[in-house]
Amino acid sequence: MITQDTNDLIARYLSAFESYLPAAQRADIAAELKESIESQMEEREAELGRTLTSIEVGEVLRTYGPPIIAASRYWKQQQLIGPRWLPYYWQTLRTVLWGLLVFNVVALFAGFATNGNALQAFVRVWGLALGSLSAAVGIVTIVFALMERFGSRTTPGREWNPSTLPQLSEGGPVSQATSATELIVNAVIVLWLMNVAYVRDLFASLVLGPAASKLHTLPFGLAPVWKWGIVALLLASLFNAIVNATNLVRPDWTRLRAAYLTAANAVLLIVALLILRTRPLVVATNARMVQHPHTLELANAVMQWSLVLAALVCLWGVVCYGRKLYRLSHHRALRAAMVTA
Amino acid sequence: MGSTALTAIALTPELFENLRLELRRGCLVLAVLAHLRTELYGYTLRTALSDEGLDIDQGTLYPLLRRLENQGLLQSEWREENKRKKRFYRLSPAGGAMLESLLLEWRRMSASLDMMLQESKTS
Repeated sequence: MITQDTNDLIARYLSAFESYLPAAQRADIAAELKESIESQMEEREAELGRTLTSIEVGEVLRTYGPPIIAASRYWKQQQLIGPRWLPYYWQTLRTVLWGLLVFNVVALFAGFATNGNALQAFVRVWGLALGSLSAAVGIVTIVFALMERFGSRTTPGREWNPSTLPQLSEGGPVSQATSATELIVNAVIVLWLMNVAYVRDLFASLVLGPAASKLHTLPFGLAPVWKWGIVALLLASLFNAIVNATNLVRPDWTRLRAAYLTAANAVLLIVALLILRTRPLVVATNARMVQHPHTLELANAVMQWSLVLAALVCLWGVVCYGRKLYRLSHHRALRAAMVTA
Repeated sequence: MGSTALTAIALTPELFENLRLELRRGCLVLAVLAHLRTELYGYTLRTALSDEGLDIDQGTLYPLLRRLENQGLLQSEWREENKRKKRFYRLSPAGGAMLESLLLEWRRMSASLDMMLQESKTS
């Protein structure tokens, strides 16, 4: 027998349950659930030999779960991004987020380089980063959700060809020719930067040809701040030469090379951005030049854009060698797992 | 990670429960279709399954019945019994054919598995 109290509890449950159901089937599903609840209560009452209290009815309702959960089992099974697209979704999202992260870090350093106020640059980039990362997640998710909803029902990648797999050759040894050539180039750069007279003249003659003799008479020169750039370049070339020499003996130490080149490019990128903060980059070295400020201005502009270009090359180096280092480490783990298996 | 740690992870009750539910999911459809060769309403179907050792909660059974009906494997009608309106389900002709195909597949899989388990016991 159903009392007023228990009837009220069941009615409240069904009312809440119905509100989450699709309109077309609402009445039918609710009627069936009501019948199921009443059958369960009848059985329980038969066991106990009395009517159920509202607490006991509550226990019966609890077995169906909260109304929204009970109703959700009748919803159409539609995933926002299903298993067909999920791997591509994660891969795209990861690539976009990493790209934006690199962009925002560069923007931070560029802001710091041009503005000089680290806190202001950080605050500006922090806002930009939060906005761009949130927007990227939203846009990528919406695009994939639309593909899931309206896209073709065929499984993506069905036309996949195993021959398009990336080569494992990135894990191959560094050729001795490469190591030897780079070792010579880096040694020359080190000697040149250390101001070894003969090397400097030879280097200048190779690069500038007959104009090398005019190098000492140039009316302008590098600003004092460049000393940090020279030190960084010197150390980078010195360590690079050591890595080249190591690779001559151990050509299979490819991760050492990739790790070093990632780190060196990152350090040179930071140094380039720090030098970009200062002005001037080029200064007059004789009195005549002071009378031609436009020429000096032009030289500064050329140097500034050359430095921006160098910073971009370093950034590209960080991304490429960082990616290579990651792949080499991953391949190594993969090979180790295959050997163990 | 050592093999002891991996064993500890593998034996967690949650993992066992997940694998058990995965194993059960397909069996439930087969059991429901097999039971509905004779007409039953939801509550008696659930009791029958439970009596035979296959407990299924209401929250799973009723949506499953509706899904199978939408797929054309079941037919249903509302009828009054013991002064209460109840929805009775039975296998449709398409459901009957599907049940036969699924049983065939089930027996094939079961035989393969039995053979594998037998082999691993003797080796």
